[in-house]
Amino acid sequence: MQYPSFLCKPEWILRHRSNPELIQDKKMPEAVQPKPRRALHVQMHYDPTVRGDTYYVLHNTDTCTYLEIDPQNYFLWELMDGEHTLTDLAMAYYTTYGSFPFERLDALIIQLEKNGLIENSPSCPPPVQVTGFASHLQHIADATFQREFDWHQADGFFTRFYRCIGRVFFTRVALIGFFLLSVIGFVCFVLLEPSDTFQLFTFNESYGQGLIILIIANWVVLFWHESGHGLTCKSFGRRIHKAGIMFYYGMPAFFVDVSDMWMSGRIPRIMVSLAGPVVNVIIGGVIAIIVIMLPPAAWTRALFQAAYVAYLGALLNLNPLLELDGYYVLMDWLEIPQLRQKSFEFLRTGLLIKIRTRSKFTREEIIYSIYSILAIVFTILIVMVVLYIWEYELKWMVYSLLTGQEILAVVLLAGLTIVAGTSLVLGLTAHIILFAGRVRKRIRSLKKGGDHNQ
Amino acid sequence: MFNTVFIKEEKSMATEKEMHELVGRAVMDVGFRKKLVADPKAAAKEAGITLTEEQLAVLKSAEGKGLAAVLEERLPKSPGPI
Repeated sequence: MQYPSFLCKPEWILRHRSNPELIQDKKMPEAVQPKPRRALHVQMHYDPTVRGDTYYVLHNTDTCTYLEIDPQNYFLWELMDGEHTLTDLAMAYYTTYGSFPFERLDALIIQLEKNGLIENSPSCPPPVQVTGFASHLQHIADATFQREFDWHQADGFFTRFYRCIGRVFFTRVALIGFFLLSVIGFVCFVLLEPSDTFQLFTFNESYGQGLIILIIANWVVLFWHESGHGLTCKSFGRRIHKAGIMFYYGMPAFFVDVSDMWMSGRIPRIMVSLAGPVVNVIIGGVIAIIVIMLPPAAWTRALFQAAYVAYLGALLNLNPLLELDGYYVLMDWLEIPQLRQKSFEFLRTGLLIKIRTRSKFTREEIIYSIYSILAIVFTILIVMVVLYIWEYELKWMVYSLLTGQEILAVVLLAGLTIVAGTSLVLGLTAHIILFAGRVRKRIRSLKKGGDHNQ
Repeated sequence: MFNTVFIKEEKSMATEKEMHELVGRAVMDVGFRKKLVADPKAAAKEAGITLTEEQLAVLKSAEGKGLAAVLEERLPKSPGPI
């Protein structure tokens, strides 16, 4: 007998006795079946899309996981009360939908179990943890592009922040005020832009002072940017699972986990994602208004640099081709979760076949194709921009630092390079070693196969 | 509870109890399930059950996987070289 993949332990079936009347019937050994039960602490969100489809989101508040299921799977989930066997579920499903859900049931139970959404689980034992050099290497490789340092008390912080100050920002008067500040501020910023003389990295012809101003301005803007996401999330009454600092492709970054917005509608989700860039625009606007009202001085130039950083941050974050705020907005607007992952998957496995067979593209496939190709073009563009900035700005900065007397700037730059570079170099090295190991294994198995054939 | 296709107690067709047995076996035994979906008549015969044309059609039209996808973490982040 070949058990379904969610049933790794056949003895589990025997422990969960079903209908005693059926067990007595020797013809029906299948009656001794699992009776899955919905886990406690599971919340449900009903999510109708603008295209008329309906989805349900199941959220386990203990494990902080979110699973999206279709109405048919929700029907099965609702029957998982610890009283019904899998056969009961299949028969009830047939009664309602007119077909049998064998594969559907297998796939659903696997996902429910993985995400802690059912109890009495006919679970496989957890995979044996591999320790030693290989596991350390894998750990480093996994953290190459994203390594988080979490702060799990973030929800309490943002709840207090929202109650004490934050909720004022969401009153109608405050929102109108922010809108006016943003518009007037941006006009001021455009009027202020000294295009020929302005240099982002220098202040008083010093790279050291320029860097310090940039660091301070950037961190202040980042704090309020992330607070914008956090406070808007709290304004919709959702939780913040964690917040903190992460290394994103080697760069330090603040983050706030607003995954709980999956339990809200599409518009609130988009609003939470847009809140960060909106905060940048407000900060940039307020600074620009202050600068234009004051007589030109050295410190107003520093403020202008801060406004520049704020606007630049908003632009960067609104780009949907990076996994930043703009991406989440696009994903929610199109109503395609995991848009990025699905797009690259389609590019790898489906696009060429579609073109070769000249099949018609679905709406989703058109989106995946456009997104993945644009993302690749954008990556090439980014490399070119970095080379351009290096040629016209950074090269002179590094040259000036190496030949000049600006010890502070050297220390800052060296620190940043070490922080960003170390994680990337370590991670990439781990990736290369692991890849080499896999290639070696493959060659060995091919050789073994060849010997065996001979 | 179940559709009338399976509740008639006629000799020439599977009763509800027999269908329950057949479905139960298909749920728990992937090998039998494959047989049942590919050739329900033969699989049912093997289990000593006779199916009507309507019942055979229903078993043949068994569904594939539905949607059960883990939603990604929403981590708005603000990277910056400084």
